[in-house]
Amino acid sequence: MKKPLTLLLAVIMVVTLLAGCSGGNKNGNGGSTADNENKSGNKNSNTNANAGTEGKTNTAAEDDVYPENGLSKSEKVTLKVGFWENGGGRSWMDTAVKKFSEKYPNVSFDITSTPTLETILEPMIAAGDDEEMFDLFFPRFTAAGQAEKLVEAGKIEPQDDLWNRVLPGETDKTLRSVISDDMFEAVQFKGMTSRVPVGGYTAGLFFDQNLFDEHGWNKNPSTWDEFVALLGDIKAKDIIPITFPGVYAGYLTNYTFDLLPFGLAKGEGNFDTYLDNFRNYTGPQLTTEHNKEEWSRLYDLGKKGYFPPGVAALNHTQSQMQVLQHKAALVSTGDWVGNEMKTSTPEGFKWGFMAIPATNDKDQTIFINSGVTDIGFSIWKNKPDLVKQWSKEFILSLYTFEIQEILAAEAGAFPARLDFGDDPARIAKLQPAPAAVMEYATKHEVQYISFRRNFSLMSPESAQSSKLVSEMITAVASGKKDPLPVLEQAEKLLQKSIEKDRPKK
Amino acid sequence: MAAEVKKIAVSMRKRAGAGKVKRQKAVFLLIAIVPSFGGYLLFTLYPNILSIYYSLLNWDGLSEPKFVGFSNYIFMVSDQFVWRALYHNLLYMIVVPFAILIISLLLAYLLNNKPYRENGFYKVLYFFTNILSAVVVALLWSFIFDGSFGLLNGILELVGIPAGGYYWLGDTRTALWALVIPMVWGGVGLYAVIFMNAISGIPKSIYEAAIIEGARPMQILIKITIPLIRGVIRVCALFVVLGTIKGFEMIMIMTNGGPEGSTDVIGLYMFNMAFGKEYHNYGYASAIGMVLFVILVAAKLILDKYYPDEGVEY
Repeated sequence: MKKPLTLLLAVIMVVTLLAGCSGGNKNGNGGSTADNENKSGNKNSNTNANAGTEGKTNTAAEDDVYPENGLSKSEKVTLKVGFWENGGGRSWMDTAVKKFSEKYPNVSFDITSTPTLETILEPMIAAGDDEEMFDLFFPRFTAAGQAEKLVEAGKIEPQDDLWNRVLPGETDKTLRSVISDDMFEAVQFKGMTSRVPVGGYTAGLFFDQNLFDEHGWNKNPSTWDEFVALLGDIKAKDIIPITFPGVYAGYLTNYTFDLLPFGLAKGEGNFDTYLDNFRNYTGPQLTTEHNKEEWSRLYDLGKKGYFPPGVAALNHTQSQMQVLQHKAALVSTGDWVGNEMKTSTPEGFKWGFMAIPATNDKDQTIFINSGVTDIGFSIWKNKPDLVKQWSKEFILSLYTFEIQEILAAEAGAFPARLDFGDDPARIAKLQPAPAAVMEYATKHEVQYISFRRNFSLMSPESAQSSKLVSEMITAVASGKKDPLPVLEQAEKLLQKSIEKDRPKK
Repeated sequence: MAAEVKKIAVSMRKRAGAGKVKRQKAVFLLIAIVPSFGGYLLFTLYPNILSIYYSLLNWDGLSEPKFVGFSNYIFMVSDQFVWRALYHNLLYMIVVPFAILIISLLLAYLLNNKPYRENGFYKVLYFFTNILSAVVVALLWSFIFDGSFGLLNGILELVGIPAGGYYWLGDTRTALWALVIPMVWGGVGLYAVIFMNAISGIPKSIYEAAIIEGARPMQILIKITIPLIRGVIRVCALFVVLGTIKGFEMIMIMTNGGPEGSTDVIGLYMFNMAFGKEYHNYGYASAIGMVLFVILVAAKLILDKYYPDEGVEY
């Protein structure tokens, strides 16, 4: 009796251990509808890879395919999705999946949804197991430039064919026709589209319009001098002009002040050269006249006390709370702020937005930081064709007005479709913060820009360089540290890294 | 003759029985050890050994790794941020374990020797901080230290000390030391409970004899209690020292190494090198990890040398 029992226990222990070791990729699957059909989709995919293009010879065969995309109705496919649950939440994605599954019942989803997708995605990619890898995923990584590296390594499926596809529910509008040139340019890398932008974010200075109205402050400064005058007016009322999360001080530079060099270059008529140098790490990066000017201005504002005392200790919730409580007038953050802070936003608070004008020309182009990585899927290349085709169909389905509206209303995101604004009823569905950005864009000549580079730096020198710069932000904003010597020091390190890491031709 | 045969048969049976017991024991040991040891090999030892290899690479985890030999280690010697982080670690290593051990020893001694009615409640209360995750403790103290509406400034104002909206974590002069408080607060509970249990194992007769001899409470603590729980203190000291060198979660949440790097520690620096917002190099981070490993081993050896394990019997 004892022997079988011992054996049974041993078997249970070993099986439990093996099960524990092997079944680790389903955490956070709130929205999964099926998870064990993927292999059938994968296995059968090659025979159906060209189902949409092969000639159909009989009615039975025609009945078995969806007319709009030529994909089989009977082949069951499960799409394994890595979804980054950012400040916009996941309800829009749940709706999109539900609608798609209703329309295409043979397609189901196995979703891993988490705010820290990068912690799952990066080990998955490093493991190099194509079978285990997500079919489609938000290219969400811990460091900049990782998505570009995957493209360079040939790991990402091109989505260029989607640009000329007619959108669902439309008769002639192609995807390209409803996406702005800025957004189109932002997703091009090495001559291919690694993801199409479903929605985006914008960043800059957000504020309470009612507070500005109450004090008669300028809500739309058109020149640098007007902007500085505004900060002086705010300070005169004993309110902090600009706050930001000093714990993550890049919120101030990346979202607002780092846009100044682009505006200055544009004002001088050498924007294209500047942008090309920026994207390709050509020439000095931190010690350009434009960049030095940006930091000098930040230092001057710091000396005037225009940023909060002790700002280095503020996290992003604390800094945003300062604006909600009217202790500060402007906060440097992204348009997700409205959604993120909606439960704490007091009644009568109306979000406004502004970016910083770089020059004193009233008709200047004002640059706004924008990104498309927050809402957009990449497709893993080493996947069966059928899986990739359905992944693209799903991505295309996200451009219906129904989904774009939910994206705007529930996630607080900036919908990617240009024609979204054609209908005032749709604009009314935008959350207050993105609506404020849209309103700002109607009053100024704006250009959205991302900080994408054409290759990324890996050498330790680049880490030291960026650490030097990021560590001085709060000190400069407090008027305690002259940024120019630090920029010189950081530039030397950066140039060493560029020399080492520049791809060999 | 028959008796001899019987004797041999009995002896053979005994041997067979002993063999069976031996086999069963081996099987049991195998079942007991293999799963956990296998897990240790697979999930601890193997990644650690792999890190040695990674430390010789220039690799971000996605692109093709590039073998760079010892250049990560060579670069590290001239990396000012590594030395600065190690200096902060050294400061924490001197202050935090000392404070945790002293406070928890005093608490344990008081609760064991003073017949307070609320002793049970105090035990739960002290251990409570240990139940909270580092994230909760960090956020709690971030708000306590907040300049605008923090509890600390509120209390200071209440007793007539003008805090003037001072941000304790926002100033390079105070941030490093302000972080010591939550570290100690979050660590005391566990060790207090461990010491309480250790002290309760000391025979009461020893204390009674000491009291009869006229020993004072402090003398009893230093001359009797501490020497008799020396082994437990040694293990706790080891845990708390190693934990202080390795730990960085609280710092990451409260200051992220700032302001101006004044609270950066080696663990956080390593983490940011591997998973930072602007930078990603598993190779360099692994090299830092290897140095951290050497430091941890050195700390253990130093503790062994200067605080050897001398068992006591009573």
